[in-house]
Amino acid sequence: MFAKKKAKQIIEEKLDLETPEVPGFDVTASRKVRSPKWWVYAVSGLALVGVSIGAGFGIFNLLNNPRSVDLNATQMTHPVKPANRTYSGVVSAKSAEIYEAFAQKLVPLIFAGVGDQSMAFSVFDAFVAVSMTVYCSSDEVQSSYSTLLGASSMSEVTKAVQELTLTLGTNVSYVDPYDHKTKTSGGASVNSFWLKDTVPLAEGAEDVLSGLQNDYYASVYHTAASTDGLKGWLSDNAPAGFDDLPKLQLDDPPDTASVSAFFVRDNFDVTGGNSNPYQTEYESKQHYLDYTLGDGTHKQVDYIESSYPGPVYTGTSFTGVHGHINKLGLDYYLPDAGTKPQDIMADVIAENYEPSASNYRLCVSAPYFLIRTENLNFTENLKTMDSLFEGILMQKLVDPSAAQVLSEALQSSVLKYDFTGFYAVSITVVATDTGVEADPKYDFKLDRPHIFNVNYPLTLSDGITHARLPLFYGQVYDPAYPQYGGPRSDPS
Amino acid sequence: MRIPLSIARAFIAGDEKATTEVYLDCRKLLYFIIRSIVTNPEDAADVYQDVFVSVLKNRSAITSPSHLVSYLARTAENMALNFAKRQGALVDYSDLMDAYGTEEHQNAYLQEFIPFLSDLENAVLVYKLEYGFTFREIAVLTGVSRQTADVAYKAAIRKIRKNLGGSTHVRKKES
Repeated sequence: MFAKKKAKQIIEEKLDLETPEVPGFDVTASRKVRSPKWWVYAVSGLALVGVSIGAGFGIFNLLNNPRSVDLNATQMTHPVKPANRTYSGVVSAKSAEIYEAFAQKLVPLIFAGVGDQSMAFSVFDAFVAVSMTVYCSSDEVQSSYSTLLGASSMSEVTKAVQELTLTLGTNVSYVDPYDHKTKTSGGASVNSFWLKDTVPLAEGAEDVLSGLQNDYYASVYHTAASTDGLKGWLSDNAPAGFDDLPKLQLDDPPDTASVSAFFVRDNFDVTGGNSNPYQTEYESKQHYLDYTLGDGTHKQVDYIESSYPGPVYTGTSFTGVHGHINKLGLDYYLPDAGTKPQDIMADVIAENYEPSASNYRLCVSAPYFLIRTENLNFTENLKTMDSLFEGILMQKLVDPSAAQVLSEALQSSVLKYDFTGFYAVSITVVATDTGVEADPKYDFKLDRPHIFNVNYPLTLSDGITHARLPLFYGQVYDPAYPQYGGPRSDPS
Repeated sequence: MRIPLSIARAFIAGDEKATTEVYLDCRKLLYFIIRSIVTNPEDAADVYQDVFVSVLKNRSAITSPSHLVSYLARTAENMALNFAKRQGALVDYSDLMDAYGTEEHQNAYLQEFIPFLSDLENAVLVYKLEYGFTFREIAVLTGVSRQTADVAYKAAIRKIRKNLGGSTHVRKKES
């Protein structure tokens, strides 16, 4: 780190010293400082705040199939509470900042390419799955990833994952910190790591696998992830009441797969003998919302109407309101007529909007929605996010002779919002496979007399044999062109 | 490097305060881009001023506020290249290769940053460490491939570590 800091210091001093001022600019003007904000979003305009607090348990179901390393040494066959866990039950500002940085870098890239369709993306899943993959990577990749997210080290990123996972609910039990009687609000976050048994492991791989168990609360399987395997894992780990699960298709079982699933439910508070007015309204079927679809046609849809005080947020080409369900926040942003949702997404994510000077009595009419997003592939988005994802991964886990590269990053999710409240399940897989390293560089500089052959490459009539028919042979002793960079003249 | 969208929009609309803020945020970057191509400091200062004059004159034509920094950077790069072209200092204007030279040490300005690095390594280091550009963005600004920029950055960090001490935080090449 010293090397980078020292270099940065030299650069800053040099730039400060050298850059002249342009006449006519008031360079004494104060600079605006933007303070980081804590926000979480799972779908356009959906802000999630803390959901549930769960106990920190990890499962280490390493199947007994050791190869190049003695995995039995770390095998545990039943859930254990990770040792030395000092969890305070809060998310630190730094952890929130790291998570926010991840979201701000990745989400705009994803929504920029989805087109005119309903879809949702779980930032939380992606953050955990990607971080698990980087956790298995070399020190250098971890350092780049940490720097990208504004963290001082991978440990700080791991701490962010831990704090958020524990706060949003971890493990296989559905934890409800808000309403223990009705159990209507809460979440669960479960992770797993799948390692194909033919992959040669690096020295010390057992420590990395133990780290995935202890630091990421992941079940570890020494077998390749398959579509059926993931389906069974998701079903086995779904808390009670989560029956509608997303489908995720893996074409070929990858060498490694970091998997994170997130379950969250936030039902309307109808405790105390009150009936659910939204359900009554739904069953009476008396009111509908006139909704204009993306293709310009109209339909009448069920909707929820709520009234509460608050400001109206205004951005370029859109307005918005902040609101809530029961425990979760739910914000809406409505593009101006003629503007598409994806056109305003970047501004919404960057919070480029201003609140009205005073509050209004907001009367919000919002449709029910059901969004199924299947196999959203964000592999290229990750690579665009930072070039480290194009490089070699998993070096702490996999022997360098089988260098791993990111092969697929997929997410599927189901989100529902209706008279019962909000329901969401998402699953993310970040997979790696044996990749081919870039060919080693070989400098071939023709800087002295040499021979050339101009030829005509073609395929012979058998369709198999290729030939390069020589047309010219020659030798160069003096190229007869002027010195490179010197005054140019017609070589003829 | 990032300028808030609200500031970018206000800048394009001609807001005086936003203009000052954009100037403060971008002046070092733009001057660096220009000096890495135009080596004479007096000439670079002229181009530097011309860039701002040009940008202010044409800002209403900027259609994408979110790409304001890219627009400014490309403007500085193009005006510097055009200047160098007029001076006959460049042979190949299309890919910037001459700006960073076939020789490792040509640009005295870049050499003043970290003397034991090549021009390209110094340039990549500034773009990466000071402005947080991705290698894709650096490739556009320097005319080299992303892979070359990546390699130059890692080589630079290794050399700095060797000469100044500290850990590298870049991947070592597998033998």
